[in-house]
Amino acid sequence: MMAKTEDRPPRRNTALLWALLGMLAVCFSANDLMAAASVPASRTWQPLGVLVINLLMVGAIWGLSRLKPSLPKAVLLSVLLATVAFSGFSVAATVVKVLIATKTLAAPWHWRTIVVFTSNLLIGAGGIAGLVWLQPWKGWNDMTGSGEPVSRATRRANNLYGVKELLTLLAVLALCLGAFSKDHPFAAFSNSPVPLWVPLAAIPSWLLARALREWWRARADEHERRSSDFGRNAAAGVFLAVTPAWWVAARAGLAPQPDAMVLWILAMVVSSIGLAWRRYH
Amino acid sequence: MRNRLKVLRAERDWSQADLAVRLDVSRQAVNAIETGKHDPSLPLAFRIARLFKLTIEEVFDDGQD
Repeated sequence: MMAKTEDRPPRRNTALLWALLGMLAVCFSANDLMAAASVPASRTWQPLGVLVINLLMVGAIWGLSRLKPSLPKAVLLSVLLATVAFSGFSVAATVVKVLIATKTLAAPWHWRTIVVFTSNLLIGAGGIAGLVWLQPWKGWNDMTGSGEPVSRATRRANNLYGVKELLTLLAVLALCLGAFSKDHPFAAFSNSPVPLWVPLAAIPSWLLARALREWWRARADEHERRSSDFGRNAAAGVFLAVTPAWWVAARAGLAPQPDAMVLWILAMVVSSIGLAWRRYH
Repeated sequence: MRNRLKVLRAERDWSQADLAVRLDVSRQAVNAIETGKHDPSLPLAFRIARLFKLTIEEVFDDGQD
């Protein structure tokens, strides 16, 4: 029987991949060498070290792209390309932020600023282009078994769950970017103030993600639904047990004040583990 | 609950995924039913029995006989 078109591994243009990775290497080099030139000689090793790491990352993307599809490849390639995209766009955004803060955004830019901004914009775009082109998420099929035939209802439910996960990621990303602090790496999950755009971006994403979660539960098959309920029950049990214990311990001076975010993270982790255990065990 | 799902599936040369598509459930659901980790609801048990053109008792065994 002839294999279906979608079963064949996609043939990729090696020259195009070389061009994309070469562009990333050039942009990383321009950015990091510029940074090395602008720091005191005693600290030049820092941006040069970052350059070595960045070039190793580009090399790793090349090496991974040549491997056969597998779960480790999918995970590593997804993480590397997402890191490239995130680092590029975040530095480009920081350049704009600094220009706004110094009220020089409208003035003619220094050539160094142009190089740093453009190279990082290209790095971010290169990371996204690599993700779209190499599609490393297809390797996740190994874990989900979706390389096999999947019923229409299951596919719809999986898609719904994927959108929900993306929205959750968006909410967390907004929180991390808005509360980012070099002095306090866990500021995103502290009670420190955040700019107004953070709740405006994070709250609708989060609430929509929760609504989609309920919709997914309604559309999922009964085994998925029971797995989900098992995870939720386990999370509720942990929350109900830990919260009052922590509260009483704090009042007796045995523990710090209860932190809602720590309890929430604990409940989410227990819920996810419970769902996965029941689903795959 | 014991069941003959694996045998019935093998007789037709179906994979778990093939059966899952026919029942409109996930492959994990078929696996969980086959291994007795998940007892299907009545509507799903009927769907399974109808698919194999058998009665529910011919597919599932609650061990009471």
